Amino acid sequence: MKKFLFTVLFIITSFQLFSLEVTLTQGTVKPTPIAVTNFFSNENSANNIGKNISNIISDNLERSGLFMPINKKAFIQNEKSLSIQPRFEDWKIIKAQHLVSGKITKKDKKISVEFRLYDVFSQKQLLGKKYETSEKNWRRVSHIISDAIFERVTGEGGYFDTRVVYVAETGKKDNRQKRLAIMDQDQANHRFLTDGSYLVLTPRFSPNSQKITYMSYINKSNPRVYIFDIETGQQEVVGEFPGMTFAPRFSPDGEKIIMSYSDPDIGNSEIYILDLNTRVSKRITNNSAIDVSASFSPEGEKIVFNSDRSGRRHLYTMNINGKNLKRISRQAGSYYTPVWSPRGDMIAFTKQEGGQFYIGVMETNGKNERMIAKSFHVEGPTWSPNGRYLLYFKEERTAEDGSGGESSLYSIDLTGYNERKIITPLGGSDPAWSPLMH
Amino acid sequence: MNLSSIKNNKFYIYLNNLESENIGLFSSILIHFLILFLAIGLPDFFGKKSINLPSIIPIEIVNISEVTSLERKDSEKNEKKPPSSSLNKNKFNNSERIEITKKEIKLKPEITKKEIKLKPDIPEEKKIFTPEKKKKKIIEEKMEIIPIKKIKVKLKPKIEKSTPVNEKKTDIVQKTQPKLKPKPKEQLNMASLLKDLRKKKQSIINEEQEVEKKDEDIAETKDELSDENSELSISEIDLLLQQLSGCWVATAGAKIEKGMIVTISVKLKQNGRVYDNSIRIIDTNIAKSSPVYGPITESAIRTLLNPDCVPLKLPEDKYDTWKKLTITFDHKMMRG
Repeated sequence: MKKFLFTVLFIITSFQLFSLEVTLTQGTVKPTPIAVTNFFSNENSANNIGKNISNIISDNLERSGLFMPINKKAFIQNEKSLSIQPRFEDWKIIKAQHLVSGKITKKDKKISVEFRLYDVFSQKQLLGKKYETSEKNWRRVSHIISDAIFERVTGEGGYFDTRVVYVAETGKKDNRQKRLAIMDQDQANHRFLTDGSYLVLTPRFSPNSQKITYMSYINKSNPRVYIFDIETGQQEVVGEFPGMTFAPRFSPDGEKIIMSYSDPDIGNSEIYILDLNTRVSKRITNNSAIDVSASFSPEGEKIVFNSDRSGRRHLYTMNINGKNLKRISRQAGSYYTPVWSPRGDMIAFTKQEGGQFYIGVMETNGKNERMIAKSFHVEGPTWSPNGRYLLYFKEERTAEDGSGGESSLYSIDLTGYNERKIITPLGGSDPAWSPLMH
Repeated sequence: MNLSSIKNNKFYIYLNNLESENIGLFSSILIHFLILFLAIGLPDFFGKKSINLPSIIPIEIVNISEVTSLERKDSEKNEKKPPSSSLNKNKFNNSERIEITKKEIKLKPEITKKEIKLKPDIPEEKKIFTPEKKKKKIIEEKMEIIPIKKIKVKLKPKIEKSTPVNEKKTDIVQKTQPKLKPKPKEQLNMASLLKDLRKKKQSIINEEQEVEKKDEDIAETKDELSDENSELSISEIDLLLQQLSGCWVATAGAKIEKGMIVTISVKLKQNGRVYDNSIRIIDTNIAKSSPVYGPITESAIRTLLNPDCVPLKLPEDKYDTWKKLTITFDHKMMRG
């Protein structure tokens, strides 16, 4: 009897063990194929908006380098039938992994835009949202939808509903006109903010994207840091300093500005933090070296800056109270314009070495330094709000007759791939990427 | 419960008094139970509980303003101050903001409109530049392609071209030689993708080292597998791993940390296809609250639903060894 029971148990246990276990350590890295259909509407007047929204989403996702939008001509199921129920088999045939469908309803001058994101393989809806807004806001809605899709698929924050402020340049190098300009991240809605009668440099967004701090030569003999209010167009000088102030940046809470101040009596530059509420400034570096280009960490507790205190320009981090100073760059060459990533894990910088300029990134302790862009002159990296992409500018070599030397904006993925030129009406330098606007 | 109470148990007494004519009945009941167990299976008491992905998306309504992302503390302070009379009227953005209402939509819901009072629209601004045409130009620019690195696989099975793998009924090991040319798919690890313009030479050396390392890893995996699943040959497992690697598309752009692991189990049909709704996440070290939890677990599940992996290349005659498949997706080499 016992033997019989033992045999039964053995058979059952053996049955349970019939399972194959494997471990995968390698996969495929390629842009995700995605089908973005035109957003459907019963009204003809809204059909165009549907097409435009779809195109902007598709372009945004393609530009990220992480998605591969499928040509709309390959679509089998039409938008009307898709708005009722997707036929996943039709989308599997064209190898779409994700599917975006949408619907627009129009009432007076308001539109209601809904979209759905599907996982084609598992045949389920991943996301569905609806936005109601004014008709002329369709472009912004497209960016917000792009952000939602990007975030759901990648798990990272989006960056499409953002703006870029930069210095628009025109004219010969020895007499160049520099104006503040602003545009959406996809180069739409371009505007000039200043008229070019005075030089502007290093614009930076406030955390709420409503203000810009920059260095201006309004007073030619004494360039200063100013704050420009995008809403009102008003600008004001930051602090009462007898000498030159430059290289400003807002703190993450927008309450302070960190900048460099060159004391005319001493001659070298030190880093100051100015409280915008009390207008009280505090000096946080104090030595005979030149300390410039300070940038806050995302939590606002630390700063990174460059200094020539070791003989060459290197990057240093320290607490905002001036303590815990650490040199983080160790390799050959000179380091400039460090910027802390919004993720908090990396620092981007400009590096000059062997007659070349580089845009590089390193961990906050200086480890794993990598150069991701290189040219005769590249400079001024700025992070996208999700910390995945960088904008910077590249300057061409100037010819002997003084021609050339034009600057252009470029974007690049943190991995060092997907470098793209940003088309601007004039030359461009000193870009700054805004935080997300929603 | 003491011994006397067990001895007084009716079932115990029955077993003690069991006579030869009742053995048939008893055996019949046991065999019926056995058949039931074989058909349904035993619940896995000791295995880790499966984790089901939430299918319902929580509803959230967020107001999005045109011009700001944070509460404007400075603007609150400005409100206290009297407005300056010398304000520049050439405003880039009017302070009047447009609000866009965002509403989550559940699967196949009847969408109910929720009217939210919109503030007056921003006056249409004069366009200085329309970058649409130029933008198209950028898109047409050739995208830099991530270099593809082939992985050398040791002990690759040589498969006769005319013989489809699925039709093989005999042991593949006996037939094959280690010379299978893997399909040139973009298999690589993300860590090696990070570009460093100054370290090209060094990175080539590193790549070689990594390939060697991978070879070792694959060999180790094969050794382990050959021990654990003696029924399947190394080349059969290798073929399966190659097929799965091609179907596992790493989560686009996700910030993957070293050591992230997702284990899924799946029940397979004899033709190598997946039973409907049989894929389960049985283990992961990624917190559900992590923003990459959904993308990474979904990417693992998609691997088995990818049309390129249907059906799986497994020998039908050894169905008993692979009818339940457990795959661990180890991200130690897949960093974004």
